[in-house]
Amino acid sequence: MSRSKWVLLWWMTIVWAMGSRAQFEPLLYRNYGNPLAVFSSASMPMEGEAYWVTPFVPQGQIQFGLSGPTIWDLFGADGRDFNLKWREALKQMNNRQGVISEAKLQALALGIRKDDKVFRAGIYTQWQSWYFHPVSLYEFLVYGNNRDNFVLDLSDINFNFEALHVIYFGMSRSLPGGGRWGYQLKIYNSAGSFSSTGNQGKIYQKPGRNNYYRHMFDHIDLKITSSGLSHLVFEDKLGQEGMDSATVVRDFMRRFEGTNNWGAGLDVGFEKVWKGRYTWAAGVEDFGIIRYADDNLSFRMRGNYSYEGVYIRFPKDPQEYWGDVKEEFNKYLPSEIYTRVFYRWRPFKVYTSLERRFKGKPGTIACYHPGREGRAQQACPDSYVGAVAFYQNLMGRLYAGLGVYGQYFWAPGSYLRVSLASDTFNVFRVGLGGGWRLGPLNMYVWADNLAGLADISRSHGQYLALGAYWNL
Amino acid sequence: MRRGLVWMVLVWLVGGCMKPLDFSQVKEIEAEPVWTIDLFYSYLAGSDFYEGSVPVMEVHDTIPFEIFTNRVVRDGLKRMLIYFDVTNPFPASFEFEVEFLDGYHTVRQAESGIIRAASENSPSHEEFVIEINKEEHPDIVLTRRLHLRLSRLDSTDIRRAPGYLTIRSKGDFFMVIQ
Repeated sequence: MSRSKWVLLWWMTIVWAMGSRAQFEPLLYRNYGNPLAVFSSASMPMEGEAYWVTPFVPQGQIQFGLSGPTIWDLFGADGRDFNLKWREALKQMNNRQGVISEAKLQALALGIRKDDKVFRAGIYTQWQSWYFHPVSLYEFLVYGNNRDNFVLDLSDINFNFEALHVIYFGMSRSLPGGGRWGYQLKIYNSAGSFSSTGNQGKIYQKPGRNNYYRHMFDHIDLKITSSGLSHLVFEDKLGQEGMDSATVVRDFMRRFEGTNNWGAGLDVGFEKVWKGRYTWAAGVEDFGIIRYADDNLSFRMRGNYSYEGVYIRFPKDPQEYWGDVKEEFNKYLPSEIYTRVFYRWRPFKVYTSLERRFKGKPGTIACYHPGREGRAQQACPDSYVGAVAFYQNLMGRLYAGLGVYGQYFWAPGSYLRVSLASDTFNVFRVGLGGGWRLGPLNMYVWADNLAGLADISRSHGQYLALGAYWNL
Repeated sequence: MRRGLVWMVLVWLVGGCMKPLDFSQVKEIEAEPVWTIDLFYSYLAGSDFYEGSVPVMEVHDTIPFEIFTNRVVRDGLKRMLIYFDVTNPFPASFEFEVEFLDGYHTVRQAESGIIRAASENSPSHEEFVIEINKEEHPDIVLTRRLHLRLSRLDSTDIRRAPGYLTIRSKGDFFMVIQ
């Protein structure tokens, strides 16, 4: 691969890493008034009469979720032997551990209230990825297969990298009897994807009947799909020798202006209030599917096979055994490389929560609205505490979490929020956030896993958000 | 005072600490996997050593040995152990010879052993292990085929001898990956 392609991939990695944030965000969940909270809770009411975010500069966020060994465990400058460290790290690992991240860059978001209805729309770009440690593959590579109980479990391989643009339109409105419901209709356009999920099968050996071993390839179903990478990675090798690599990179970047990978999805949520203080909310985010039809290159291998070596017969005429081995392998474990269209579900998220308000009535958040008469008489929004449960479908891997949060308003538009959470990637974390209002400008700063700030290299996840939006 | 406190909290929230890391350690990585794979197996009847009634004093075959076409294996090989497990039920002895041939059929390494005569009820069992260190035989990674030869060491009639002379083989490849 040419230097410019490596540079491009390097920068993509940097952008991915710097923009990454895990999906379960108790500091954001049902954070009243924040335009980004509507994705996890589509029924959310709106603060004021209208809101919008400044295009492309709404906020900066950094977060990662990392389970298993930390960066320090491997790369800490502690004078210990690196080979000892990675062996210890490998012992601690399991195939449910890995790295997960997500970033949203809100290009446009606006909302308008009309009576009890809230209409909203926007465009955002999203990076979404996960990578789980294929521990049995690591062990095969570093220890080999000459050991007891060797099993290479292909279901360990589970990763997904995707960049996409999303256009959404939605609304929320009151329900009779107290409560609300809402939705966002989404149109997805995927710039590129590289994924391998839902793999099955085991490779191992057992005592052979004809030879020392019988190498088993049991119920193999290995899939790797990509969209938008084949030209970048393989163009020079697909008969276009001498092609200007800068052109290839330029072609790739053009994918961010739109591709033929279209999809549709839905966020939907509702909330029910009773006794005037308690709110039960539930919602699904990103229930959708994408049709990939642009620069696809995929691989699939399926079948069963066992191998005990070449059966030789000492014939008078030489035999082409190698051809026979390959033919048999391809017969029982056929593989194909294809460029045809494929579909994939979005990794949807499910939330449910229970909140308790401390004063006033829910759904009647009276905030500081500049330009409106009598604003000084407006009451603070209600302070509240809540508990949230979260689940995300990562196609064969569990990502779930539980959290509690409390939001205390000390002045209109100004709040302090605290969260405690536990999820698949981080056993316990404490988050702290605050928001302030200056005229129509709302600003906030949130940080999660405060304990991790003492040494980020040993942390299993950090979250930092700095943002602003306008509200009337 | 109050403003200073707010700034301190903000710096704490966005700053964080990180102890010194050294990513250059990755250059020191050294893994020593041992990969094992079956090579070939065979069953030879006594009649396989005859053409009609004429004894054949030598049978041979050539099998592919493609593992060194893989660059990781070729570069990372430290040593290899090739195992041959031979069971002989015949009242005849043999010489078993293995030649490691490169892509031009040049012999890069050769080893041989004797298979003792036995009987159906009490077959002889020999395991030959060929150990080759790459440091001593760097050209072993040029091997692309194994040439196997079984030579009769006597003229005992085994045309109708029951059972099969069986050969099993595997390779253990000791690697160093840096």
